[in-house]
Amino acid sequence: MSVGVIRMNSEPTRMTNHHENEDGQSSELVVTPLIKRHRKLEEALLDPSELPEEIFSSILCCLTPADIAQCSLVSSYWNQICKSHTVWRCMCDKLWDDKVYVPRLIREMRATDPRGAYRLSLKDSTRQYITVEELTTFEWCFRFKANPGAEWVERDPWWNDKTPSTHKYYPNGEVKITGDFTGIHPNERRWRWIPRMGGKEGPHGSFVQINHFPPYVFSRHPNWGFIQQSVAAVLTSFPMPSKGECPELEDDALEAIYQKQNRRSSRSRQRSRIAQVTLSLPMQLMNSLLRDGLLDEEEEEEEEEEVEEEEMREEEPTKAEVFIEDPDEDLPVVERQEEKRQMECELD
Amino acid sequence: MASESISVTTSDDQTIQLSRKHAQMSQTINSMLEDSVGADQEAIPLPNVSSEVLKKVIDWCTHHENDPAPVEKVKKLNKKREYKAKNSTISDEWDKNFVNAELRVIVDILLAANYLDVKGLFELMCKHIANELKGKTPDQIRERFGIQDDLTEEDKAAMRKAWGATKNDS
Repeated sequence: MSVGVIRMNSEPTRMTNHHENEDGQSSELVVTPLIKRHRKLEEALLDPSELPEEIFSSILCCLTPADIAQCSLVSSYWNQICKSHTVWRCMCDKLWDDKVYVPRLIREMRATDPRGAYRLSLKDSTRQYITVEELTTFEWCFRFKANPGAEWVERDPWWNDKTPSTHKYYPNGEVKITGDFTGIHPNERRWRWIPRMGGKEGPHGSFVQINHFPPYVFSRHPNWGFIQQSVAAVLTSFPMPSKGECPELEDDALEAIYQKQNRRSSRSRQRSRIAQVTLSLPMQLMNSLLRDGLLDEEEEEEEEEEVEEEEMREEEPTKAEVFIEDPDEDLPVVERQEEKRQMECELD
Repeated sequence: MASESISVTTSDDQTIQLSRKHAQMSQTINSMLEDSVGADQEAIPLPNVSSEVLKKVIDWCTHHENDPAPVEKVKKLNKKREYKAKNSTISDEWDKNFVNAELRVIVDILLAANYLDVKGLFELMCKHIANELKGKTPDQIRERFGIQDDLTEEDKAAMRKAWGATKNDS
């Protein structure tokens, strides 16, 4: 479909109308828009598309994607600008500005397909598993939950309003811990992926375990950063807010995510597959390297499986509900709908 | 020696004094000042801005002169409520009052903010105009701004499909 074709098609129609009107009675049909236009100008209601293109673009990217879609139907010129890379690069910039993490591949896509990058980044922000590249790149801030009891909490810097200690994961399986409180055997920590947790499976990269400490499950913060938590501790891929600063990172809120993650991980497998292909090439390699570790079953967790399976069957939602459950509650509803629709397409 | 006040000449040939602090909120004037260090007596010509509009710009700069630099990021990233004030929402009460003007004036300020490169003011004006488009159907937008519809129904159907339009068109 080209703009040229549109004009060719619509021009003759308008001409015909015009002639009829000159001959006949209802000339208002054509004249009305012209009069309206003049009246509007007198009222100083300026058509924003008469502004320089770059400024018109800046105005459009103050809108939501749904509003931009409406604007594109105004005229062929509006459509052209609404589809432009300028507008969608700006949309990406605004969307990503207050986020701590957007995957490199998506950031690179902004140059060639900014609208695709916009959508994909929204979709990716709900990904609840991590690639080895991501895991080993972030400097993770650590704190204990209140669960393990006062003796841990008292020694944890975060609980004492100090800089939290940090974890650094290395591709060779090492974990280095720094900070005021490094716990027992800080230099003998090894990490590995585990295929399931509490009897629940997830896409590769959903669960990680250090030595024989309680395993971690991944989730996302509204700032698109990663959170990993076990029953006893929580780590963030971004500077950890102080106590009381962030409701999403309080123990109660984390506990709710923890429960939900355990339930949803097996359903999300299928839907994650597409993104996994794009985002996790190095992970395939890692997978084979860690195979031995993967085969290391957690015996005490097997027992829980049955109970949890039942719970899951009860709560097995419809396809639509899975998406509604996504933790991106900050997004405007329209964006979430659009994203949902797109995901469904991709799955089909 | 840098003086505390800068002179500029507007399109209607008025010479206006403004403080260095305000002048530097305009990237355009700021780089002119940097280019002419030492020779500070001459008024800076602003042939694209009228004195009336420049006064509005200075008003805005005065109100926002102590705004924090935009990159105190890490701190605010953690707080959920920061994500809400996005897109076309104008949150500052003074700003709401400021944009409560004829669209002709708004557009003049927008153009001046673009030329002078005052980022915050430019964004405010864009947001304000975007609010005129927000939640409107294509018909309402055409009606509002007197725009000719040059798209056929087939084109629109194809475009809706391409956009993956989920919203109704009523």
